[in-house]
Amino acid sequence: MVLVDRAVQGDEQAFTKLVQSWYQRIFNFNYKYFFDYDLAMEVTQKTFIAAYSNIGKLKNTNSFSGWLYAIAVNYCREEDRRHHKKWSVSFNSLKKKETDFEPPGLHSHHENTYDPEVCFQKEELSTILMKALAQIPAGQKVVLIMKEYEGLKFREIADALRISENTAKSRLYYGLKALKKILDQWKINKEEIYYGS
Amino acid sequence: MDPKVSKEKIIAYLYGELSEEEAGEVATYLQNHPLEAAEYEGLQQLRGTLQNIEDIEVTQPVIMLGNKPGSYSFLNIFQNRFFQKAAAAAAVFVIGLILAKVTGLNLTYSNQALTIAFSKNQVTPAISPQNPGQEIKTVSNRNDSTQQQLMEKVNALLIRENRILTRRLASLEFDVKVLENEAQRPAVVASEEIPGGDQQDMEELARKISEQNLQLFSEVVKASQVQQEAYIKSLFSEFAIYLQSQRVEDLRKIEASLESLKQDSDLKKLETDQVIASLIQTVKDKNY
Repeated sequence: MVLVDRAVQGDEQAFTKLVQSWYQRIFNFNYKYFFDYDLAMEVTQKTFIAAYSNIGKLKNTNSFSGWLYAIAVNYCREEDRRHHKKWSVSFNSLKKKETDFEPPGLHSHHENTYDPEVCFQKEELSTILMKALAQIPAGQKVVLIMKEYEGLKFREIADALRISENTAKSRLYYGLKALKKILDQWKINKEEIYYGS
Repeated sequence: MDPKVSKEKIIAYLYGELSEEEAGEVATYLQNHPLEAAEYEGLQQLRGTLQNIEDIEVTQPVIMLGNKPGSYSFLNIFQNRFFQKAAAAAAVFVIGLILAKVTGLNLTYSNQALTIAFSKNQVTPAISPQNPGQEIKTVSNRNDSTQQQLMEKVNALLIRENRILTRRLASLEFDVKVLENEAQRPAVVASEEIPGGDQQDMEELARKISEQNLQLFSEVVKASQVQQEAYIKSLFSEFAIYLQSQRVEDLRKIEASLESLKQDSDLKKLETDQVIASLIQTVKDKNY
C-alpha cells in the first residue's frame, strides 16, 4: 500500500509501478468481460487514465484494488451501453454463432508433456467458457469474474460495485447457476473436460 | 430438523469465506440434504471447469506521465482506434500521392471543367495577361501538331485498310475465275453432243434419249424377269431334289420296316411249323 500512498500524493513513478503491477489483471478482467481484445485494451487504457486523473481523490488507500476495479467496471458498462446502442457485434462473436456451437470431442490427456492437441483443446475450451460467460447478465458476470478470477473478497466486490455483500453472493449464485445451465445445454460437463490433471 | 441454509451462505461456503462454526453448520446441512448437496457438488465442478479460462499475456505499454493529472498517456497510441483510423487515412493519402506521382496524374480545373490526365506532359500554362499572343500561338501550334499527328494516324489506318481490301478483292476475283472455268466445261461437252443447237434438234435429242431410256428400262425389266425365272427354276429344281431325296429316304425306311416284318413273320412261321411238327410227333407217339 506504500505505492498507493505515494501515488495518491502525486508520485508518478509510484503510479507507474502500480500500472505495471495491475495492467495485466485489469486487462484480463476486461477481456473476460468483453471477450474482445481490442475493446479490452481500450477499456484498460481508459481505466488507468481515469485512475491517474482521480487517484488524488482516493481516501482509503486500502481499497485501491476495489476502486480500480470499480473504474474498470464503469467503463465496461459504458462500453456495453454504447455497444448495444450501435447494435454492433464484436468480431469474436461473429466468428461462430451460438446456434452453430458444437461441443468439442475432448478426450483424456496428460498435461505433463507438451501436446499441441491438448493445447488446442484447452484454447477451445477457454473460448467456449468465455462464450458461455458472455451469455450471463452483466451484473452476475462482473461478480463472477471478480470472485473467480480476481480472487476478491465479497466485501471488496460489494465495495467496488456499491452493493451489499449478500447481493454480491446472490448474484454470484445465480451467475454460477446460469453458467451451469448454459454449459449443460452445450453438454460441457466434467466427463468431457478431463485433462488428466 | 436443520434450519434452511441460504444460498448466500452456500456460496460463501463454496468460496471458503465462512467462519468455522458457520462452515460446520453448512456441512451438516449438506450431509442431511442430498439434493442441496448435489447442487453444491455441481457448483464445485463448475468452479473447476472455469479454471480452464486462460489469461492473455498482454504487452504493457510504455508510460509517459505529464505534470498535470489528465495528461497521462501511453506511448502505444498505435492501439488507439482513433489513431489507427487517422493513420490509415494518412497512409491512403500518401499512397494516393505516390500513385499520382508515378502515373503522372494531372488534375486541372478551368472554365468550370475538371480535367484529369495521366501523363507526364507539362500542364498547360495559364495565359498570361502580359503576352497573350504568344500563348495563343503556342496553343495554336500545339493544336496544329496534334491535328497533323491525327491525320497521319488516320492515313496510316486507311492505307492498312486499303491493303486488306485489295487482298480480299484479289482473292474474290480468283474465286470468280475458277467458278467461270468450271461453268464453261459442261457447256463445251453439251455443244459437242448437240450438233445444231436449235430447239428442234434439242427435242429430237430428248426424244432419242427418252426412247433409249425406255429401251434400256425394258431390257432391264426383261433381264430381271429372266433372272427371276432362272432363280425360281433353280429354286424349284432344288426343291424337287430335296423332295426326291426325302422320298428315297422314306422308301428306305419303309423297305427296312417291311424286311423286319418279313423276318418276324418267317420266324413266327418257323416256330409254328416246329410246334405243329412236335404236336404231330406227340400224337404219333401216343398212337403207337
